[in-house]
Amino acid sequence: MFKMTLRSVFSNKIRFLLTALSVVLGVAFVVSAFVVTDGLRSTFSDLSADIYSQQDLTVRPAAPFGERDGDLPPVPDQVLADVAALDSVVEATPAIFAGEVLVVDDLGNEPETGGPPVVGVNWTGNDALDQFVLIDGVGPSSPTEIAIDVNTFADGDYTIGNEYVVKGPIATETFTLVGTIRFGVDEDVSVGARFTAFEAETAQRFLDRQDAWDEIALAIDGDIEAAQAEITALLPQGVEVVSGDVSQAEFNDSFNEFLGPFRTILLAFAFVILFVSAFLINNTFNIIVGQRIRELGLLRAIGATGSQVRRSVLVEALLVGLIATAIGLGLGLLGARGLIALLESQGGEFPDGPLPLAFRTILVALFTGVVVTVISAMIPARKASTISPMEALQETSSLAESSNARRSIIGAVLALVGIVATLVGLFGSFEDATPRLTILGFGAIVSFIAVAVLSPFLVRPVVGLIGAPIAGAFGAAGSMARRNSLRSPQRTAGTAVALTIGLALIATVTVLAASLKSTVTESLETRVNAGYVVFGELTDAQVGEVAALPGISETSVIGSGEVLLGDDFDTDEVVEAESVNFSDIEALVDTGLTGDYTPGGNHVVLEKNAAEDYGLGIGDDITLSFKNLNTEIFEVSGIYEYTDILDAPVIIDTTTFTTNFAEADAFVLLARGADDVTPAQARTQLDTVFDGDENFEVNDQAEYLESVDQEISSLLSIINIFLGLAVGIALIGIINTLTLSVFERTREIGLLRAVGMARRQARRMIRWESVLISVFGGILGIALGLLFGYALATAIPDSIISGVSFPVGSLITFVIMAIIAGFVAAIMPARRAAKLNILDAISHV
Amino acid sequence: METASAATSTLAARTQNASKIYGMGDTEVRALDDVTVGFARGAFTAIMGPSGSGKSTLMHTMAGLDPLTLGQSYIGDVELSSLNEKELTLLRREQVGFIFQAFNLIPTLSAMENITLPMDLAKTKPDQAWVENVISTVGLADRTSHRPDELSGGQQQRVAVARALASRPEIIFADEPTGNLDSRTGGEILDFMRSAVRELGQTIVMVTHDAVAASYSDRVVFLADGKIVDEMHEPTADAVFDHMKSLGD
Ligand SMILES: Nc1ncnc2c1ncn2[C@@H]1O[C@H](COP(=O)(O)OP(=O)(O)OP(=O)(O)O)[C@@H](O)[C@H]1O
Ligand SMILES: [Mg+2]
Repeated sequence: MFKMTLRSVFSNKIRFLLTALSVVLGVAFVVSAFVVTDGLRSTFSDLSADIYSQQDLTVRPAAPFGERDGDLPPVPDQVLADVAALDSVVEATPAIFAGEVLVVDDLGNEPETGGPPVVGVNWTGNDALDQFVLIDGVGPSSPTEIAIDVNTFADGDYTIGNEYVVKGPIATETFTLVGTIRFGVDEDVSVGARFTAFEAETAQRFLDRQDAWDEIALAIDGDIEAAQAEITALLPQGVEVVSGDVSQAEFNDSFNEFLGPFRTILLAFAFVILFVSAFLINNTFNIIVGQRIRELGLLRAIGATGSQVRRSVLVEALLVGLIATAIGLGLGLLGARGLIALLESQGGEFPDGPLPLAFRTILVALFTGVVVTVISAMIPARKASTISPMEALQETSSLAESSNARRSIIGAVLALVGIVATLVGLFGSFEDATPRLTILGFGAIVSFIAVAVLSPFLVRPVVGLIGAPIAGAFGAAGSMARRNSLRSPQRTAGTAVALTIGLALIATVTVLAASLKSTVTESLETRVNAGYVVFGELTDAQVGEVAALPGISETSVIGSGEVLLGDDFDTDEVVEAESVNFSDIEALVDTGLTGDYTPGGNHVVLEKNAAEDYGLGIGDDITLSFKNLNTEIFEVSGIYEYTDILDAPVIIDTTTFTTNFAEADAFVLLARGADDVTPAQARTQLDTVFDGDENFEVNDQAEYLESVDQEISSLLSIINIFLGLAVGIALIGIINTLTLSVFERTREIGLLRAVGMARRQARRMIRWESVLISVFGGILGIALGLLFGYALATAIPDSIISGVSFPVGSLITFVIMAIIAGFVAAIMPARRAAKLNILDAISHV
Repeated sequence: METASAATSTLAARTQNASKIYGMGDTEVRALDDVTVGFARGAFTAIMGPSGSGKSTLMHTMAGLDPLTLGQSYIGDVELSSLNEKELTLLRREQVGFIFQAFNLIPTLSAMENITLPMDLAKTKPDQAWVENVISTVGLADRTSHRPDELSGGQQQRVAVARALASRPEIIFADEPTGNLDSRTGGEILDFMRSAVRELGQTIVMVTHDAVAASYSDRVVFLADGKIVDEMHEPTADAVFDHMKSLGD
C-alpha cells in the first residue's frame, strides 16, 4: 500500500510540484520571518553585550516613565567629578550621544539622513568602556579636531588632514579631520549609525550639553553592589546608577519591543499564505481523489479497507508536506536575505549580521508545513475512504459532490459564527488590543471558510452570467469554456477561493487606506488654514525670524513630549502631550475648541475622544507628571477636536512645556502667507530662513497633503507586496486545477481535436475557463473586501477614519488583475491541451 | 479539395504503398506494411482482421490523425503528408467524420450541440434542413436537448453517427462503432449507417470484429500483420465468418 502511495506521489511530478509549491512558499515565509528576527535579535544582543559587558555601572539620567529620550535632563559635570573621586571607581568615562551632526565632504556632499542616526559623540580614547575603536590617524584631542566613522569615511569623499564644515544641532563650524573610528568590537556587527567624534569639552559645547553628559560608564574595583549603593547616595535627584546587566537588558528590551510587532506582522503574512495554501491543497487532493476514483474503487474491490484507502491519501499528503517543508526551509533562508533587501528598499535600515537557523524554526516549519498539508487533505481522504468497490466498474464515475443541504447548513452556521465574531471584534469593548485582534482574526478565518463552503452555490449564477458574453464572443471554444467552468461548481469555487481570500484582504486594506486618506485630506482641507507647515527642531530664533517675515501673517508652533497621566510612575499611562498657544493656532487650524483656554494658567485642553476615555470634562482636574519628576494638578479648561496637525490627547501651554521638558523645542511651525503677497513670494521668504537645511522640512499645504498621501501609499504598497504573494499562490492553485482538468479531460480534448477543433481553439477554451475561474474568485474577493473594509472603517474611531470611501479605480484594477491572473495561469495548461497527441488522447483511459 | 469530382476519382480515400512503423530495431513494429487500398465513394466498407493487425492504424493514418512512415494517403485528391497541422484540422473538420467505440460525445454539450460541434468549431451555419433530416432518421428528434449522460449507450452512438453525417463529410471512419452495444441496438445503428450510404450517398469505412456487422457492408477488406490479405464483396455473415476461420483468427 505504501509503495503504491509513493508511486502515486511521483508518477505525476508536475501535479506534485504544484501542490508542494504553495506549502513551500508558506513555510519559506515562516522561516524567513523567524530567521530575520532571530538574526536581528542576536545581532543586537551581541552589540549590547559588546557595549555593556565592560561597564560595571552606568550613571545616567533617571527616566521615571516613557522613553529614554532627549527630554531627560543630562548628568551634570559635578556628578562625574564626585563619582570619579570615589576609591571604588577605577575608571569613569563620560559619554555624549547627540544629533544630528553632518560633516560636509570634499565634494560638498553631506551624509544621508533619514535612515539610522547620524550623531556626534565625545572621544575618550578608552575603547574598553565606550567601544569606539581608532582605525586610522589619531583621536581628536583639540577643540578643532574631529574623527569620523569608517563607513562615512568610505561613502563620502574625505581625506585625513583636511578641514571640513560640520553642521551640528545648534551651530555650524569648521574642524580638521584627524582620524577614523569604528563602533563595536565585532566587525561583522555594524549598527548602521554614523558617528562624528569630538574632544570631550568641544563635544559638550558643540552638541549642546552645557557642562553635562548623557551617561557615565564606570569600571569598579571590588564589590559592585556596594559601590552602587555608595554612588546612589551621592547622586542628585533625576540621576541614577544602574548595573551593566540592567543597561544591557534594557537595550535588548527596547529592541525586542520593536522586533516583536515586526515578527508578528511577518508571521501574520505567513499565516495568510498558509491559509490560502490550505485551500489549494484541499482542492488539489479533492481533484486527485476524484481522478483516482476508479483505481481506489479497484483497490476496495480487491480487499482494501476504507481506512487503508484513507490512509494512503493521508500518507501522500504527509509526503508532500515533508518534502515541501524541506524545500521551504532552504528557500526561507534565501528569502530572509530578500526580505531584508525588500524592507530596506522601502526605507528600513538593518544592521548586517549572520542569519541563524534555530532548531525552533525548523520545528515550526515542520509543524506548519506538514500539519497544514495533512489537515487540508483530511476531507478528500475521508471521501476516498467512502468510495465503493462498485465505482471501479462504472464507466463514468465521478466523486459525489457533497450534498447541497449539508453544505448549506454547515456554511450558514460558519457564516453566522464568522459574522458574529467579526462584529464582536469590531464593536465590542476590550481593554486591550490583543483579544480584539484575536477575535477579529478568528472571525475573518471562519468567514473565509464559510465563503469557501458556500461559494459553490454562487458559481452557477455568477460564472453563468460573466461567461455569457465570452460564450457569445468566442464561439464554440468560448461556450465550452463557460460550460467547463460550470461543470463542477465545487471545483471551480475551490480553485477560486484562494484568489478570493487574497483579493479580499487586498481590497479591505485598500478601502481602509482610501478612507484614511480621504479623512485626512478632508480634515486638512476644511480645518487647516495654515498655508505652510515646517517640521524640525525649531529654535526660538528661527520661529521669531519667520514671524517677522513680511510675507507671513500668522504663525503658531507646536512642541511635543511625553507626560504621565497621574503620579504613579510605575502604573499610570504615558501619553503624548503637545504644547500650543491656542490664541495663535485658532487662526490657522479649526481646532473645534469648546470651553476656554487660558495660557499660562494651570489649564490643559483634552482631545475629545481622549476626554471621553478618561471620563473627564471641562472643569475637572487632571494630574500630570513630567520626566523632571514634577507633578502638577491641572484644570481641564477646554476640549478640542483631533486634526492631523494637532492630535495629542493632552495639550499643555507653552510655559508648562518649557519648564518641564529638557529639550523644549517646537517641532511644528504653522504659518500663513500675508494677504498682500503671492504664495510664491511667501514661500521664497520662508525658504530663506531654512535655506535648504535638511533638518527642516518646509511644506505648503498641498505638499503636506502629498507627503501624508505618500506615507499611506508606501505602507499600502508594502502590505500589498506581501498580500500579492497570496494572490501568486492563488495563481498556482488555478494552474494546478487546470492542469489536472486537462489531464482528466484528455480523451474529451482528443475527441474535440479529432472532429476538428484547432489548437488555437483548444488553447482558447482552457484560457477562458481560467479567466472565468479567476474573475469569479476576484469578484467574490472584492465584494468581501468591500464588506470588510466598510465594517472596519465604521468600527475605527471617527477621529482616524470618519467616512468610508471606495477607491473605484483600484477596484477596477483588481478585476483587471484577476483577468490577467487567469490568462497567466492558463498559459501552461492551455499549451498542454493544445499539444495533446490526438491518438494518445483518444486511447487514454 | 472541392475539385475532386466523381469523374476524376471514384475513390473517397486511398493509400499508396502505406507503411507505418512503430519503434526501432528490435522493438520495431510494422503496424502497416505496404498497404495500397482505396475506398469507393458512396460505398460502405468494413475492415476486419485479428487484434493488432493494423486496422485502427490504417484508419488513423487515412483520417489525418497520424502520419504515415512511408507511402501516401489521400482524402479525395489531397495528399495528407503535404498538409500542415492547421490544414489537417480543417480537413478533419470539413471532410472527415468519426465514430469511435465509446466516449464519442462531449459530456457538457447537449445531443444537438454535439451533432453540430464540427460546424460550430468552424463557425459555419449548419444546413438546418439536412441536420433535422439526419436527426429524425437516427430517431433522436425528441432527445436533442439531452446531455450524453442522460442517453443510453445506443442513443449516444446514434448521436455520434448523426454528428459524423451532419457536416456531410467526404468520408466517415468508424472504429468498432457497435463494439459496446448489444446486438439489437448494434443492428439498428448498422442499419442506419447502411441507409446513409444507400440513400444519402455517404462513404463509410468501418472497423469491426463482428462478422454480422461486416455483413451490413458492401465490401470487406481483411488485414493481417499490417497487410491486406483478402477482400470480399457483398458479404454475408456466414461467408465472413467462414473466411475469418480460414484466416486462423
Ligand atoms: N503508438 C504505438 N506505439 C507502438 N506500437 C503501436 C502503437 N500503436 C499501435 N501499435 C502497434 O501496431 C500494431 C497495430 O495496432 P492497431 O491498433 O492498428 O491494431 P488493431 O488492428 O486496431 O487491433 P485491435 O483489433 O486490437 O484494435 C499493434 O501491434 C500495436 O501493438
Ligand atoms: Mg483497433
